[in-house]
This record gives sequence, structure tokens and C-alpha cells, in this order.
Amino acid sequence: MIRLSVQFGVNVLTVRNLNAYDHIISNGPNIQCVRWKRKPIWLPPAKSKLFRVPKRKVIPTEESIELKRLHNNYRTYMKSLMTYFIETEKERELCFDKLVVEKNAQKDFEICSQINDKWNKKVAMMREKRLTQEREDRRKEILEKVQAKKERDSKMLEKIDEEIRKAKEEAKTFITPENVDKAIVNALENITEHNVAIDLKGNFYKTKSKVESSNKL
Amino acid sequence: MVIKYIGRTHYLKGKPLWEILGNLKNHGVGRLVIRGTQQRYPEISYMKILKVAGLPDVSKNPHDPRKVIVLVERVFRGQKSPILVQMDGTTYKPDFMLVPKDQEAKYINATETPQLRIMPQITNFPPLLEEMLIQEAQEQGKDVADIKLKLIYSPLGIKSYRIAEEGEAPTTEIKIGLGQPASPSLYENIKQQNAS
Repeated sequence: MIRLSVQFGVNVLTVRNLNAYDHIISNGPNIQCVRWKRKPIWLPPAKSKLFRVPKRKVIPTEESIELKRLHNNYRTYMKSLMTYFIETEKERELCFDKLVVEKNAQKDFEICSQINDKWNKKVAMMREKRLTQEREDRRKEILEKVQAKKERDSKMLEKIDEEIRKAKEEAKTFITPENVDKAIVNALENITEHNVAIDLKGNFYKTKSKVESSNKL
Repeated sequence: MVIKYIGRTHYLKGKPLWEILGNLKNHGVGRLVIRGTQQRYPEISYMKILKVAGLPDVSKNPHDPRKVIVLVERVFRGQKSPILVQMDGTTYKPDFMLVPKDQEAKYINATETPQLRIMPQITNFPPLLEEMLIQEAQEQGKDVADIKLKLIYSPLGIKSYRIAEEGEAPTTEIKIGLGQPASPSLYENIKQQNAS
């Protein structure tokens, strides 16, 4: 049904509201608009309908009995269902009550702390075990180190002793102010010739080569 | 002055209570009054006036009905109310009729009462909700047989029914669906498709 924009002679607001549907209604020649064809509910009755008295509807007894039964059943059922929903919602809300929530939180905390204690104990046992092991290992290490140091020291002492002994032995041959004259004499008497030849096998050749002596001359 | 009524008609039949009681000796204490709207029931309904008091006139027009406070002993559909009833808000309605003294015995001696129906205590939930509740119960390990909707009935008024006691078979049933029709003749020519 194509609806033309009709001026109702009422205020602009309602007319504008009426016109707002026009684009829906006159959207095509084949559209039949069921919803917006009548006057909006907030407008007063039309002038032509103002003094119309609708006839009272007469419902047959048979039908009225049946309708009453159906309505009664429906209302009882819906009321019961609604009451059920309200009650379940109340029970659910009770779970979120402040006291109950606090109580539940306390309970939860207790359970958590119990689990935590258990874990702590377990970890403590493991730590104790590890620490004893570490202590044992350290003791062993230290003992080993001490032993090694002792050995090293004794070796060092031996080495030093050896050196001292050697030095003492050598000390007899040292040139001192007392025997410096003797040493000089000795040196003069025994001239050591370092100018020697050596072959690949390490044999010394003390005899002077003829070529060399002739050159000197 | 001729009163011309315009507008919609109503079901009421009779006069306002003020008009009836104001014309009676001792304001009609001890007399019987019936309501027009209650005459549709086959059983007897009446009210016995016990005490009358007026209410201040707030009407703007002398033709407007006035209200009155009355204490009555109410019998509705042959059943007597266990408590006395005070009427005030409804007394302005032109729906009251005085019972002549010679007919009072007919009302007082009537014993006919409506057939007492026994209504069920519980019924099934709607199918989808029932399924959901059953699933929920199974998850929580509860008994599935307990899932029934408790029916709520109005506790007020004079009833022609009572709620079934434990183990008692109700005479009427309330459930989702059409149920047992009150007038089967309406359904006679309907071809019902067998859903199962």
C-alpha cells in the first residue's frame, strides 16, 4: 500500500514522525506495509472514530470455557517458571554474598597454603641433601688441596736443599781475597785455549791448524 | 432530568451500595446483597451486611456514585469465607442488588458448591530447559528424577480447587501443550499430525 504524506493538522513533531516512514512505505509499488499503515499509537483517535462505540464481542460459552482453561494453565505455568528462575537467581546471588565470598576466599587460601607448605617441605629436603653433599665435596676438595700443598712444599724444600748443597760444594772453589793470588797464578800457569775446532760429532780438535799458524806469522 | 448515557457499556447490573443501604432501615444491617457480576455462576453468591459506615463525599457531581465502608460475611459460589470481609473500594460500582426478605431463605439454605478440583503439585519443565537441567545435574552427579517444576498457586480468595497432597492423583493437569480440552467439540474437525 503506497502511503502519501498526509498532513494531520497536529504538531510538527508527530507529523515528522509520520513522514519518517514514508521512505519505507513508498519504496516500491509492490510493497504492502502492515506495520506502519495505521496511525501511530501516540496520536489521538481520528475525528471520524471519536464517538464510535465498538460492539461488545460475544464469545460462545464453549469457547470461553476452553479459553479460560488455556489462559489459567498458561498463567499458572508461567508464574511457576518465573518463580523458579527468581529463586535460582537468588541462590546464585547468595554465592556472591560478601560474607560467603570472604569465607570461600579464606578456605581457598588455606588450601593454597597447605599445598605451598607441602612444596616448601619437599624443596627444603632437597636443599638439605644438596647442601650436605656440597659440604662433603668441599671438605674433600680442601683436604686434597692441603695434601697437594704439602707435597708441593716438600718438593720445593728438597729442591732448595739441593741447591744449597750444590752452592756449598761450589763455594770451596770460589775466588776470595785470601786465595786471589793463587788463582791468578793458577790462571797464568794453565792457560785454557777455547779456540778449538769441533766436528759434527762433537769431537774437539785441539791441535792448531797449520794454515792458521802461518797466517799469524 | 433525563440521563443520557454515552460511550461503552459495562457488564455491571444493579445500583451502587450507597444507594441501596441509604434507603434501608438501620442502613441494611442483617440484609443480603448480591453482585450482578457473580450471577454468571450456577452456585449461590451473596453478602450479608454486618456493619455500615459512610465515607466522605469526594465526588464533584451529585450523580457520581459515593463510596461506603461495609463489613460483610461473604459467600462465594456456595463457599463461605472464613474471615469477615471489608468492602470499600468497590462499593461505588452500580453492581449491587438487594435480596428481598422473602427470598433470603433461598440464598441462606443453598448448599450447592462447585466440584472440587485437585491441582498437581509439580509438573515437567519446558523441554529445552529440562534437557539443560538434566545435563547440569549429571555433571554434578545429582539425581535426574528430582527435576520437576513446582507449581505456584495463589493463596488468596475462595478457591474451588485444592493442591494435591503427596501421592494423590490430581484431577486436572497443567503442562506445556494443549492438554485435555474443556470443550472437545471445538477440536473435533482438526486433523492433528502425529509428531511421533
